Amino acid sequence: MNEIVHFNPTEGFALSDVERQIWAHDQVGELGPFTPPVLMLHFAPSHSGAALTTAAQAMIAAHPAFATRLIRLPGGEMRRVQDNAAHPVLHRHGPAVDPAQAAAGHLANLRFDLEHGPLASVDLFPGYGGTHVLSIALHSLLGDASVLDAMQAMVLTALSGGQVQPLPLAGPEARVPREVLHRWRGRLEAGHTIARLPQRHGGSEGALRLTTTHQLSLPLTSDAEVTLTAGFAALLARYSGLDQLRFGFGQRSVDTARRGDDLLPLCVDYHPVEGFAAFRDRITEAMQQARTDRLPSELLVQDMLRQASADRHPLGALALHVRHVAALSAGISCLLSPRPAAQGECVVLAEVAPDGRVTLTADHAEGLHEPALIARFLSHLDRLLVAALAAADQPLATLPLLNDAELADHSAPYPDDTAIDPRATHEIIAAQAQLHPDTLALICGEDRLSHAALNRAANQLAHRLISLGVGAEVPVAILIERGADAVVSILAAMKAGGAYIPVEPDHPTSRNHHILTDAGVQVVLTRQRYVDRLPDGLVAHVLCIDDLPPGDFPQTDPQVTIHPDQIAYIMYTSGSTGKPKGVAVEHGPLSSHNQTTARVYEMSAESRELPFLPFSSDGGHERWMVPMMMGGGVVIPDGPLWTPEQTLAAMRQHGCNNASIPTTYLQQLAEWAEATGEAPQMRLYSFGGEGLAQTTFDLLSRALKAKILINGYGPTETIMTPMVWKVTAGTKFDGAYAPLGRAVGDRRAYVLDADLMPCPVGVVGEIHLGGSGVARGYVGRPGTTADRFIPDPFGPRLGGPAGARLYRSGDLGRWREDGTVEFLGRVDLQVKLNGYRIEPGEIEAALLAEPGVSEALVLLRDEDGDKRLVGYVVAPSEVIGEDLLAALTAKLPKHMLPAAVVVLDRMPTNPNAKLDRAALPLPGRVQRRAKAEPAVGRAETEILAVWRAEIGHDQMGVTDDFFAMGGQSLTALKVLVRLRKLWPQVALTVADLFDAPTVRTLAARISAGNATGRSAITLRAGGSQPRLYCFPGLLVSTREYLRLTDYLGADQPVTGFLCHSLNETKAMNVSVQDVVAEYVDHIRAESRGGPCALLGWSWGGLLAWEAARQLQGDVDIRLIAQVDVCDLGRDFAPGAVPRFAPGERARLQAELDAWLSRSQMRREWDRLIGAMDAECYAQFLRFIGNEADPLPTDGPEVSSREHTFWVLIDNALVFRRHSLAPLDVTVASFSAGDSLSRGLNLVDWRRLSPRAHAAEIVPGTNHLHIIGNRLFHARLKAHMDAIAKSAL
Amino acid sequence: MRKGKLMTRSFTADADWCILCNAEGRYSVWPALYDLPAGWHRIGSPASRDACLAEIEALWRDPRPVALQEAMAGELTQ
Repeated sequence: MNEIVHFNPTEGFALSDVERQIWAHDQVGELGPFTPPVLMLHFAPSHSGAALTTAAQAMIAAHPAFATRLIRLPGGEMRRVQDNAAHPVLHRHGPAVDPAQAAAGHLANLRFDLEHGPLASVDLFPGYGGTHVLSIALHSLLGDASVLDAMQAMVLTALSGGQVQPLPLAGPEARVPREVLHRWRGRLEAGHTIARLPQRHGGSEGALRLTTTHQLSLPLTSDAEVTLTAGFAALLARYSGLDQLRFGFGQRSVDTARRGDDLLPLCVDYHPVEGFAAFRDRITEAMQQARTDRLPSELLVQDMLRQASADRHPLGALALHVRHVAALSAGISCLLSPRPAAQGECVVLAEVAPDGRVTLTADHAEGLHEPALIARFLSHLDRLLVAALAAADQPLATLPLLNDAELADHSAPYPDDTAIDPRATHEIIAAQAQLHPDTLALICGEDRLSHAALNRAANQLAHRLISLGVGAEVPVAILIERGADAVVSILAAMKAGGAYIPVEPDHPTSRNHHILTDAGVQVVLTRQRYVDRLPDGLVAHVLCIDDLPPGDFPQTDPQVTIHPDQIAYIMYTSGSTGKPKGVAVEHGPLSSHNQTTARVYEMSAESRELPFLPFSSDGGHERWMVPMMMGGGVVIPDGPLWTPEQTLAAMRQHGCNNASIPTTYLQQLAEWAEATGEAPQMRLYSFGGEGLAQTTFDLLSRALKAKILINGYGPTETIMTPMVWKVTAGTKFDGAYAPLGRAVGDRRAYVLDADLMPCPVGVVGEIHLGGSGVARGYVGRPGTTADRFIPDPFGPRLGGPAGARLYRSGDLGRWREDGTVEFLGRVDLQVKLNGYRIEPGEIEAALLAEPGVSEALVLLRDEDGDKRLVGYVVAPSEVIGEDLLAALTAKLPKHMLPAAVVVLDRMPTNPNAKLDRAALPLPGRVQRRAKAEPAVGRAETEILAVWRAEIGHDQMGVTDDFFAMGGQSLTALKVLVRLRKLWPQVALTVADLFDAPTVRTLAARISAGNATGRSAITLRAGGSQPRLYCFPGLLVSTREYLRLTDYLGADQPVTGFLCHSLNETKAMNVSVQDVVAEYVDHIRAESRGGPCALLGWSWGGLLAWEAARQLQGDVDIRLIAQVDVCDLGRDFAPGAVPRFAPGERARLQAELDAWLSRSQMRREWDRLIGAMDAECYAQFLRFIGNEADPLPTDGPEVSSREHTFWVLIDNALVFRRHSLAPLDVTVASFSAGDSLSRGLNLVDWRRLSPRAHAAEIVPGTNHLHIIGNRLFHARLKAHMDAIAKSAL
Repeated sequence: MRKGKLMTRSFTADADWCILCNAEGRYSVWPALYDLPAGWHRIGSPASRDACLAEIEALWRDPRPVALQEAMAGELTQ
């Protein structure tokens, strides 16, 4: 296809928006979401090859797509012309055993070329048995599913002997009325949140897509589209937790002559109590409204992407397309039909067959979603629809998503078939006195107790307690510090049939008094030295074990029958509010829990454990009971605060093989062990009590020499550790915290939503624990017990006994793919922002993973209704909040990013040593707090006045940083203009503001008269990588490169050049060569003979290219990174003849004259216009005629619109005279997704260098924001690292 | 004792609840709209969740499961 330079521009058709978009994608070598559409039909032998050939040829003649050719007008505009010579030939292939396979092979090797053809391929593959396969493949620019449907219909019409009518091609759709866009803005700003499916931890949307299909189990014979859409919406509401949500829904093209299938956003209000019938009615209405205002969706996308904070999928991250498949007559079947464009993270296509059968195909980003999750999502859609259609009035929130098999699988405990020993915990321990009488049961300080000795001591005390009336349901308080005496006392209380209550002598008196009086304690076992800590008026026997009254009690086991329902202990929980509540735990479930835990921990008589947990937590008791029940022993620390050194020494000295350590202490221990290498070889560590981040877990894996690691989780109400995550050291996990694992013993763990419906895998809900392993309840609080322990509707369905209860934990979690549960924070700490539910714990864990951060807290701060997430961290002063924020940007989804991260020396605390939230500082809203140092002397006073006025900060002082106080590129220009007026003799540039960013330093520079006059700014001086030179776009300063420089790191030197159009001298029509000369001199002087890299952004790309040309041979240019560099476009291209309506040109001339007469820049404009030739002048008239807004007259200030307009036109003239020469240099090119969507005329660098590659598309950003985009930074860094390596 | 505002994208929270009791004599509350879980029976008429819990406070005098109550009563009579 040759370019026809003087082609009549009125011939043919302009490209539609989507065609231009595909063209732009094609130009940068990356079709992105627009995979070429393909149709493959299979014909039985009843259809002859000759008939099929004739039919296919009729289709080729009738459908305008096949006659389409693209031509390029001067300036790059593409037009579509119809030319029958372009018709593809129907290609008849040789016979094959499997014609479908032959067709697939042909299609896989097909390459289309928009400029040189072919654009389509129609092929007939005969099989040996007389069957045929017909394939039709198109370039995506030419068609989509609707176009192929029309083609299929043509073939079938021709086959059945009908006349195929040629389809006319019309121009693209008319302009969208302004009020339509206005109505859409209203819809899209009504507070709906873009719904998403649960994503992989730290996942990102790469190019790789996967598909999953599911056959709907019931046919939809009527209203299939709206039924499917309503079902999809309801399911998304359940999956996302959103009440107001948005997703895309497919629009079939009306005109089947050209590509036109599209997507529109659907905003849905979900009411959980509403039935499906009513919901579907509202969805129908919303869909109709959207379709009434149908417009090319790219208009909406572009409108929304103007905000830097826009979602990368502004229409919706998920999309549903419903397509009715045409009926095919006997002997014809469809082997392959085209997919919708992959516009979104997950795109679901529902194909409805003529008989109502529905096939769902989900196409999703592999980097974001687990394939299993998508498969379940489809099956849940099926299940929801079946339930909803069967009960159309049932509240949507109660439609079950999980079936019993899934529920049984997700909630299942660690497998354990061993029968439970009916004896109570202390009875099993007592039996070890017979089996292993001499084995050490307990070591603590100087105390050594064998199993036999322990049992004798406990028996003796038990008989004494029985004599005092202790029996079933009688509470016995143990006010003794952790150690041998405490264990003997506890065993004695249980042996007597009583319920023990551990009380820590060191805990606050008021708390202990509450515990001692709350449960009706009848006996207190304590020491003499603690007696004065008892409350006045306590009605109970007080026994001091170090001063027992006389009495001769036997050492034999007391004959006390223990009923499984009687209480073993009462443990007081330290709830965050209110008084501690006593949790009563019965013997049956306690013993059962201990036995199954022993098996999960693989414990035996050989076990010797060091339990570090306090006795005020129930986990502390599990960790001595279980080893003793197995005949092993424990080494109990004789003080509450052993140093890591002491702990490791005790493990070695006593030959421990197990240790149970609070998570908070574990880090210190592991750090010490890593530093000293003193950790002994261990079999197992268990830990718990808090969320455990991956970094801490990695440290444990490395530093503590243990085979097995167990993360235990459990509220006191569900007895010790109802869930554990048991892994071998070195295991990696996805997620902020180590998983909580699975339930233990006769329990099940559920994640339920607020209406008690089980959540699908990945969806956040509240963790509920059911089965026999739950506590009796709260002592003396039947109402609270009934509130927290609810009837278990699932257990009986999954083979458990009827009448069981579930404990709702108040903890948020989600089921993971492997069936374990992940912890996400507390229900009462969850926050909601911009429609998203956010777990601060997840953000905190991400902050904690950063070097130097020792504590992290994330809060939702509300300042006059302005809600923002703020992160607080404790870290050394060299840790910068903005750096942490930047690090989070790479790790967390956008909606989870705090607005600011504040670095503190320590967290503020109140007198109770609890966090004082009110004392946490609010970060500055926009500006940092000014130091407000007053000005001294004339220069400082005048500069300060200018800065304050331009930045709009009254408090600013002479030592405050210009940029930190909110100064931006444009502000800098305005400031420079004003300062140059004050000191005309000093050649101030932006470089001076960079070098001297405070009033004081700048004043000194001005007074000394040594402004740089430079156009180069060193953004980072040092580093071993080849220096990166950044060439500016039009009217931007080098400030825009700062975030990039930060990202590239300390080893990457970076220099930025000032934009020449930003200086005051409006030297007109300077050539690109001249603009670049100054930059080239700089590079030559700095990097002569050495390696470097150039980066050009926008117009800067032309400068970088020209600089590279001039620098050839002088420096080693390893790479030119071209960022969204556009060609001149059609407006000012030489040879592009502008079109005027009759009389329009004269009208525009009058308009121009009138405007010029008002302009303050008349002189500059006259000079510019004077330099135009006739063609260019006509183009200029056309250009101002196309301007939507009135021409500006606010010049000549640098920051004025008129100045900007002048610079644009001046540049167009410069560009007009410039041509890009081929160069043999490595080029990495990047395109903003939005620029491709707009069909901007991006330069294809592959035409200019043999070492250029197809552009990398940076989705979800536009021409202006790409330079600050994190994804772009990451990709550029990969290139920079690669060239640094190649230099070695 | 309602849950925090966020988890209550819950229509059951503000709907009617009823008091349930199982064979062990343990009490709890349950959304009136939902099917009865196996092993539980309804007591009284539906009311707000808080009202049901307040009634349980008065109703549930003996925290011991029925089997334990019986076992302990048997011991006493022996």
